[in-house]
Amino acid sequence: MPPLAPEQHARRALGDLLAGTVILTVTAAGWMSLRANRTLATFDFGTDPGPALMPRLLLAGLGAGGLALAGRAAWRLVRSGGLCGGLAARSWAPPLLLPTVFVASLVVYLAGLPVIGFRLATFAFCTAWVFALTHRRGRPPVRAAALALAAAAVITGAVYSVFAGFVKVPLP
Amino acid sequence: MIGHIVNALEQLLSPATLGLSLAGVVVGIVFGALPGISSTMSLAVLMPLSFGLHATDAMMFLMGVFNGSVYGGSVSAILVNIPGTPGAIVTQMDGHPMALRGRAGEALGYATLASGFGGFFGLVVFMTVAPLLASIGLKFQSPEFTGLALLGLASLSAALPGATFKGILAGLFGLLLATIGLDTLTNVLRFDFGSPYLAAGISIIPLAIGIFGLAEVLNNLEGGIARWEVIRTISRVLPPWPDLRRSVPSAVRGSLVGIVVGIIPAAGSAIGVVFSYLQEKRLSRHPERFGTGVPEGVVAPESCNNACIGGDLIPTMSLGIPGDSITAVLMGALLIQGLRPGPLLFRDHPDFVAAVYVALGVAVVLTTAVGLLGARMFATVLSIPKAVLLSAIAILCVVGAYAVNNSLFDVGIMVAFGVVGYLMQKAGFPVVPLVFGLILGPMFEENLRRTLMLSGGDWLVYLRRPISLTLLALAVVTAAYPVWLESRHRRIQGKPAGDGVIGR
Repeated sequence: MPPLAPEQHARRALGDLLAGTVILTVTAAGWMSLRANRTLATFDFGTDPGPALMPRLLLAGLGAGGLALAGRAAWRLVRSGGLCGGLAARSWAPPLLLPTVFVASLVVYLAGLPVIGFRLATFAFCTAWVFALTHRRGRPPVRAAALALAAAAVITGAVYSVFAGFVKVPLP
Repeated sequence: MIGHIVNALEQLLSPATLGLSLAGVVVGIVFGALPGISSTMSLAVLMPLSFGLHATDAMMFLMGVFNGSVYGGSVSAILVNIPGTPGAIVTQMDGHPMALRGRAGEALGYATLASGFGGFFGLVVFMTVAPLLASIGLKFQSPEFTGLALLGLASLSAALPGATFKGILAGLFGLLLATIGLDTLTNVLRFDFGSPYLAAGISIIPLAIGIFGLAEVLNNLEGGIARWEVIRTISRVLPPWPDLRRSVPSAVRGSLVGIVVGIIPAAGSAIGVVFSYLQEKRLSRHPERFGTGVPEGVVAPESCNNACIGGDLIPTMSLGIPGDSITAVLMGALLIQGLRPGPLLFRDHPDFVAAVYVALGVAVVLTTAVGLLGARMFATVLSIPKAVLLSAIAILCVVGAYAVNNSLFDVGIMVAFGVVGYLMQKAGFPVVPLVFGLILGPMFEENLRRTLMLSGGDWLVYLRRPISLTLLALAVVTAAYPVWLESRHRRIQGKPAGDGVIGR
């Protein structure tokens, strides 16, 4: 495997630092939840080590792991010239844009499901995304729109008929 | 068991159930053939279609999807030079050069027949070994099950070279997720944050659909929507008989590797196919021809990845330890049907186990038939615009997650874990340990606590029982060996340039 470039090292260290921080946050939230659970704190479970045993072991492991990950990443960043190297590597920003917009649109779609119903919401979601992705690839707008409308109709119809008709799922 | 198999054959070989299996095979091949859609994703996204079916009918459909998608990966490897699934990563090395030389049909033919051979090989070994393993498993008690769950989790580290530490963290996170909700031994709520939805725990299905389905859609979007260059001329599909006969030893060796790799929990077929390809090259009289389009380079990995299916199903069905990410998803489907894989399944539901054998056998036959008869249509399948496909998969993810409990909360869980899975991959965290943790967590915790309750809190009880001691020792060695290998590798890499490892 070829050695990583300094910029890649910094990016990886930055990613590890973020991941370690997230793990520590999750661990802290877990400990707080355990401490707030009065049954776990006061109830006598007899010979059973109790339902808090496993969460405590896991949170301890996760906390130690998160700390090691973040600490090691911070040390690597400091040694490689600080955060600037990692932050300068902004090449991650454009690739993340489309997935972020997709997730945001999915959240809007889910919010719209109970309001306008499955068929209309799905048709609109698919039309928008098929159009956006095919047009982005260089297809003329009219052809992209025609494909988007046709594809959205087929996807909506097929999914609805299979799940609502065959699997008997009461779709909104 | 033979009586149960005969009953299952009578019950499942009706036109309706065969139609279900055929539908699963066709959709599985289509999904598997499309680059960027793995077998795990195919199964996760299509599994909700089986919710309304009887358990045995559901297995007919799911085994069709499983077997079809594993085979389907070879189609794009040969026709596009991009593996459709991780299990087809080396098929392209000789399959695509064959296609470029006008032998695309033959390459597909070799891949189809090798997949069929490997599938049957895997089925026979599955039918032979799984009942034996289950009968041993029936003698296990709580300490042994704790050790077994630990071994399943530990084997993940061996299967994740280069990402052991992050894999362990992901596994711990999965185990922690498994503790959310009502504790079955004491009826105490944990980590519910006052939400009635979380009181029921995190269901494996929305999580698997998010992590293996939506996360892959996001991954595909990241690279932009590229057009695939597909080889469309597919002539003769069946290879000449003398050439086919010469490939049999490669198919046998590939299948054996597939079985062994399949049995090891968490070792995906991608590891097996690379090993079988390298083995075939090493044993060949003309290793220099590998990579230029030799049939053995297609036959060995394709028989390997389909034999892996039988191997994967052995620990999954007989011990309740998933063989890989695909069988982890399959376990989710079985749990939805009220069936928990493990030794008790063989004792209490032998009719269902027999139905699994039949379903896999039918899927292998139908995959081979569809592969041979439909080879000329594969190029058309690969012409489906990726934009349409990704939108359709996103909708299937939403509807699939919703179908579990008819709840939008599950859809929210799916989206959340889709994002988590995507970000984990970006940060170099493997996602499979998380799913394994969620599946094995309840088994591990329940048996750990039961053991401690029976022994009066004596942890040394694990060391006094030979089988549990062996399982624990195996778990320690399995977890420690890759860590030791990694640190050794790092030490060697850390040496100054000129030591022959780096710096040249």
